Amino acid sequence: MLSDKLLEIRHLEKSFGSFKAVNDISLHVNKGDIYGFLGPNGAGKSTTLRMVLGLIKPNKGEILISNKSIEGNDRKFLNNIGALIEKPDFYKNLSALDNLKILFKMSKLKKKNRISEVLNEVNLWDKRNQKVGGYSQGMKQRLGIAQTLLHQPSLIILDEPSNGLDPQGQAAMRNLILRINIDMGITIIISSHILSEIEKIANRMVVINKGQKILEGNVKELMAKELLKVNFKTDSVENLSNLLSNKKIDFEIRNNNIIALINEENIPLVIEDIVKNNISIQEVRQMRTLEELFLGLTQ
Amino acid sequence: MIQLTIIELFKIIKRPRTYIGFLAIFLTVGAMQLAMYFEGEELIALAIQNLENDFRLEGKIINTNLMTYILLNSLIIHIPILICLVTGDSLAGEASSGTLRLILQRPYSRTQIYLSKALSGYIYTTSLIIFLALMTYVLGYFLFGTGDLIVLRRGVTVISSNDVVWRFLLAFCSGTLSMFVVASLSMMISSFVNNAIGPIVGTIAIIIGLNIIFTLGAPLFKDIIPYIFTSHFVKWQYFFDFNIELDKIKLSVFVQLAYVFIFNIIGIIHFNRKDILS
Amino acid sequence: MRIILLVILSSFYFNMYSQSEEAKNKILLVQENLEQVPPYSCEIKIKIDVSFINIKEREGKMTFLGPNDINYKIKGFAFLPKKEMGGISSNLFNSEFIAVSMGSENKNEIIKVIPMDINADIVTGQFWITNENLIDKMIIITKDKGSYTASFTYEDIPYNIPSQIKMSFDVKNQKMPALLTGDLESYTEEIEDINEVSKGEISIKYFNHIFEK
Repeated sequence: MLSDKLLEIRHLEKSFGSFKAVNDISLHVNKGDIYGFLGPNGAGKSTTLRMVLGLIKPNKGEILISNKSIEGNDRKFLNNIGALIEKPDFYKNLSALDNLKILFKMSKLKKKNRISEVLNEVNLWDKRNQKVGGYSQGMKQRLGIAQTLLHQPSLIILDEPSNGLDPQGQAAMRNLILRINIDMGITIIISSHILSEIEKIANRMVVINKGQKILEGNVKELMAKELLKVNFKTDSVENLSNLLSNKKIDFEIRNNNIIALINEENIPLVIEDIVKNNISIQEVRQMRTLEELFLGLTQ
Repeated sequence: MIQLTIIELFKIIKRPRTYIGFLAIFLTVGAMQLAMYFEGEELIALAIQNLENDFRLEGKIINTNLMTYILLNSLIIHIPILICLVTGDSLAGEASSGTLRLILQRPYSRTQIYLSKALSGYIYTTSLIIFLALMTYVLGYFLFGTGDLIVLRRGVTVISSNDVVWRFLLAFCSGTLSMFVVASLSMMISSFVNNAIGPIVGTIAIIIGLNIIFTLGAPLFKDIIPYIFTSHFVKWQYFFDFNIELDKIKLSVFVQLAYVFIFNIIGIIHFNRKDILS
Repeated sequence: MRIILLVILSSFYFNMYSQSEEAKNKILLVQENLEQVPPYSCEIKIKIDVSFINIKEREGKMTFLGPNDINYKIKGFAFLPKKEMGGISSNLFNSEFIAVSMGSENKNEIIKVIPMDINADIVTGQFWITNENLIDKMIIITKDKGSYTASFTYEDIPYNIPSQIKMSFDVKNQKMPALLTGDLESYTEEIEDINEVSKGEISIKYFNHIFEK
């Protein structure tokens, strides 16, 4: 896997009135990643993704696609991005084919068979002439994926792609996403609150809550049993963070909580150091699975 | 831009509500013409009874030219409503149905997308006016034949049948420009809201409201009336004056073009700044 | 003294009577001229000069079959005089009337005609008669349709048919409510008296006569 940054977000902020929806979020997506974008409802996921697509203007921060800022009115960066934001909406009175024809022409594409290719890719070729208004949720989701593939982008953003699908549909969606990533070499960002979905297919991820980044990293590392997320509840946040920094342990501060990534075997040593330095700790919790981590961080 | 405009026109053509306008014109014009066919003589007699006291009137009063002139008055309220149904839906309808975020992910600027929608709206408007013109003139010709046009405005003006066609062409052009103002207004409102009803109702309310205010209070507002766009919806009548006042027509064209420009500028600026949350 | 007065009075009345008879004879000569006109058709041009009517000159054809039987075929729409010379004057001359000489003007004898029939539409008619016993000008006063003036021009047309007739009369201003016409501009103008009466003129030229044999 190449480590080139395809998407980089730097200190992004967005407020709607007095409500801060996105608060200083920084992350990056490498080429070839399936990048999980996790957070509960209202965390700021959709707002962040809409800013990446230029649908919302950030108050602060920078967004770079292939190391080029998207700021300004040049919309050419969208040639490299396909996106399905929230539910898949199409022109209900038009057929799938007509919908894709519109988007094909709007994407300034020339390749003649592209529409049939993508419809075949998502198994909708036989239903191409049916009006989208009569499609099931699963068919709409697949058509949504199809429109993201039309212009052969290098990055696809999928916002809750398994939403409303039954377990079979979710499995089919997972396989499709994997196929897109592996066979077509397309980088994918999946936003979801279904953690198990992310666990199964993402290689890197970020967790956000209330507009802030909680953590970012490699899914396997986060999942590794030897590396645990330890939640320290303390009044001496500064002292504890100094101690953890000296030990080169990654951590995040959340009010009176410090969440640190510590190898399981090192935990007793860390606690020993905490006690030796008279740092007062009210509570220590360890979380093993991503779900536990997510639930804990977002409470 | 041309490609975008063609796409917008395709969407307009495929939308069922597009045809409401044409159907409404067909029914309204048909009903009016038939009503005049059966009851027109009595109505006209009422209008010209004073003249018949002093003159003997020779010639056909009710003819396709008169019917077309009368039906041009539908530009005041009826046609604007039909135009709003489509142009008011152009942005707000896409926002409410979610397709706006779909098309804004394509490599066109928001200005280009707005202008293509405006342009397709103007093409739709023009087609509606052309349909009105053909419907009134052709059906009127079959029912009433042709003849001189008698205009009861500031007295009585009689325009020869061979002198009337170019006037109607210009009158319809003037009417089309007025309807461009309506289309621009509804599009501008459409850029501010996320539901399609708002621009339609809003535009019609503004037009009807302005018409009422400036009709009832006309002497009070006589200095500003020439600059209110609704007062120009009837300026096509200038082309049926015996001596056409070019200066007044130029002012009317200028004012209406200014409104088209201003409404579009406001709409484009707002659309460019707007966060797409739908 | 009485005899002188009687003689003077008698001669005065005799003079008046002979003047009245002369005037009446003049009118009858005019009528004779009119009755000699055979049926004919001709081309016409009609021009209207009325303050609130805007219309270009109209062309057409006229068929004359008698003073009360005149038909028009006009290209397009036209305003024609309601009161026709032939009809009015023939009505006037066909019934009993008194003719009074009113002197002369520009070599034309002025004769006032008063119908004896109290139910007649016409109150009086005043005629300017030429030496050739042709009507140069007339003023007709009617009971309830106002008055009108007609002046006649003669060129070389057989049977002394006039080549042009100009008729002027009172016309009530035609006012359509601005709210009906949607004419806001006129609505903001000062409202004129809706019953205002103005002078209107219709001028008809006659040419290319074809007479029935």
